[in-house]
Amino acid sequence: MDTELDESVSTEEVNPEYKYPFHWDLDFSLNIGEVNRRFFDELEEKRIMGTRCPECGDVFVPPQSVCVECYTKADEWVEVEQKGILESYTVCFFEFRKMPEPPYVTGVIRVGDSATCMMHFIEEIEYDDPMELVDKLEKGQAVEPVWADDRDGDIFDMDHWRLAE
Amino acid sequence: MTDVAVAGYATSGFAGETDKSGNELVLETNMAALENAGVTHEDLDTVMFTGQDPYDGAAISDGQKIATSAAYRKPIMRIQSGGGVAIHQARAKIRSGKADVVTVVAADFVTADPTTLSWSSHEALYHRPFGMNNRQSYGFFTQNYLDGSDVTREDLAATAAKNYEAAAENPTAHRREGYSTEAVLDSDPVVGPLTELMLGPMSYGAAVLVLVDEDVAAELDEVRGWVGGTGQATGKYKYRDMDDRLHQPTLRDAASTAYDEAGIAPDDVDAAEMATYAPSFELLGYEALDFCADGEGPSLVHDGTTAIDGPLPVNASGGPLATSPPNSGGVYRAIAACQQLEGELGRQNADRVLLWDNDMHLGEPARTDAVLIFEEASA
Repeated sequence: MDTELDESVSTEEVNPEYKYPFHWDLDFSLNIGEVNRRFFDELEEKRIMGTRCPECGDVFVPPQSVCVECYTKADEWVEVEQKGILESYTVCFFEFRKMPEPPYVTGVIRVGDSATCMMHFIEEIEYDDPMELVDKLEKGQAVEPVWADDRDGDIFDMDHWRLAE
Repeated sequence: MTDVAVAGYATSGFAGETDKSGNELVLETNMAALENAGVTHEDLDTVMFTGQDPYDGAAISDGQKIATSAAYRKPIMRIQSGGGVAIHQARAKIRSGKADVVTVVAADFVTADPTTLSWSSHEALYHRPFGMNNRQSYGFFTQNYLDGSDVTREDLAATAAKNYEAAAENPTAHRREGYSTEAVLDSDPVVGPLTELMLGPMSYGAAVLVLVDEDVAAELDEVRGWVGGTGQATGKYKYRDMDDRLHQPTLRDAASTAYDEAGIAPDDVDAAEMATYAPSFELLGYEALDFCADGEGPSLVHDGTTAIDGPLPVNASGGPLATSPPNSGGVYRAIAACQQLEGELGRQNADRVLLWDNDMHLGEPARTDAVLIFEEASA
């Protein structure tokens, strides 16, 4: 999102025929909460942590504060292996907001033995024709994170993921 | 408990643009629906709006339509999970004795980018940074489907073309060009295996449905149909087991409840309208609704079963690939179901039409599914 403040509602022009254009540019500030803060703090130290349900033992990466199956607080922290399985992926062919230049690949990654999956960009894939990318990956492939040199405690401390060696 | 009838309905029809204001659309469509039902605004007990503020470009946007929907001084309610859920709730209100006459009102009239609106509805910390939106979620779902089965892009395209063939015969539909399988495959790639014509357009228009209890229905000359059973279920937001997502447990749960309530089996359904925002949802929907065994979804397209002239037409309206108004799509699909009971849409007279609606125009995670059974005769 743009960081520069703008009017929350503004009108750029009025179409004399039948359109009345306006845009919303609202500034929100989300409380990320203790669980997410801990996760991001650990990322800054190049560790991937998840929470575990004390009843069923399921591990969640990214962390979640509750196990949706047991409705129990998942308040135990565990470090997970820095390997993942690609559960699904998709290639985006259209420009969207501040995303990378298309085509780019977004993966649904099961990190370590997590019961849930995490989303991240999959990069370092060689191709000639963009359409090749659609069939370039397979569900079940092993992937690994590539850490950013400069880490600020957010999801992009992992710069991207790539197919594991 | 009372049975609930569809006393009447109206739609403005749908297109890629409208020059009418939201209140103009609602007023014209609502008046037409009340007249079609043979009731007046004074008979009306409750109004249920269905839609989302972002699509209307205004917070509490239903409040601005109190006058045009004849909701002044009546208990109103907004449902954000789609027209199917709104009808499910309206029926519950009538069956509980809280109302005799209820309208379900929806309109789409503000031009905006639906993909960005969808992005804003996604989780902020882990999904939005990767541009997660409705189309991305359909891409994940479809890619996973193709990777784990023998289904091909050609199967997806044939399913889309089947919908477009039906839409070409529906004067209310938005896309009526009758695109072929080849045209669908040749359209621009958008996300994963999905092309532009495997995804719905942004459609504009309005739809209103009038529901009444059996006493009111008995006083009317005729009704359009009866709601024999309904079911609703909501899934998890977080991405977990992708295979579980393909199994569509919420759709199966909602369908099971609706079938039980209507006292019917899947074989008793003559036709269906489905909120399928990509062909993969339709093929897997056949399986979740027990129209075929798991893994056999594509065969219903290839053998013509679900074509407009087949024994089980699915999306005789053309479905969301042809007409996709995010606020009023579910109400419109209910109207399309009733029109098939009356022999006014499609090529057959159906006695029983299933409606599967959901809120997946915003994306697939945390979806809410609703299944409703519309019948020609009261149980």
